[in-house]
Amino acid sequence: MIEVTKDGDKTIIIPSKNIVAVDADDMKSAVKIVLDKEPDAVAMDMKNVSMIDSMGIGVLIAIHNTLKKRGLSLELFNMTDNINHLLRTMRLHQHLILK
Amino acid sequence: MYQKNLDGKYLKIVISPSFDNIEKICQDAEDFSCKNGFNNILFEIQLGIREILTNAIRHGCKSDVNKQIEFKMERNKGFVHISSKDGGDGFDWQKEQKKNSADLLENGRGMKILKTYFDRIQYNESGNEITITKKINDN
Repeated sequence: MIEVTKDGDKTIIIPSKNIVAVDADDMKSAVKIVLDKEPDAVAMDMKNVSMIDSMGIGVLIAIHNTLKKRGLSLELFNMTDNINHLLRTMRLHQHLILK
Repeated sequence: MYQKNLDGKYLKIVISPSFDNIEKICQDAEDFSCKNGFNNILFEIQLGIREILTNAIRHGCKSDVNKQIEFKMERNKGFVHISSKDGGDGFDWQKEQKKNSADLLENGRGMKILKTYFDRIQYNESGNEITITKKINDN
């Protein structure tokens, strides 16, 4: 479901598949285990993600909201143009760090 | 259940309400889009399919496995029409359309996505059928 690596103090979450309805709950549970370890910074490498739907966006928001309580933001990178456009259309660039 | 009926420019699939079936329909929709020459908008097509079927499963059928969803996809001249009809009591799409969900709520974005990526959204009176339409390049 997800792979987790470190880059210095930053924890990088790498979803292995699309973030869509069928996997949204499992994805959220897997990420929660990572966030419960209270990392100093969190980024998500979207290299394996070619589709995200409204439930998937909900997963990203849930992660962000957890991090926000700790004064952190979720950073996303390696997004396709389609996903980058979708997230910006949903105004997430005002809250998440989209690279 | 997954019953597929493909006839050239018309695809009809009847499913039981499960998220796994959305994945199967997206695969069939990809094949249909390729064969009908509009796979250049496949991301938008699959995104729309995911949103209308997720709504049908969660709000229409309320995940009741005994209910059914009828999915249709049709190319008609310069447009692709995609529809979903569920066995539920109906969904208040008009109320949903008026919602202006806050950025950091975890749900409530389906309608905004449809309005952003599709040219036309229609509902039947009882609210258990939605048709979304997108213009395509008619080759």
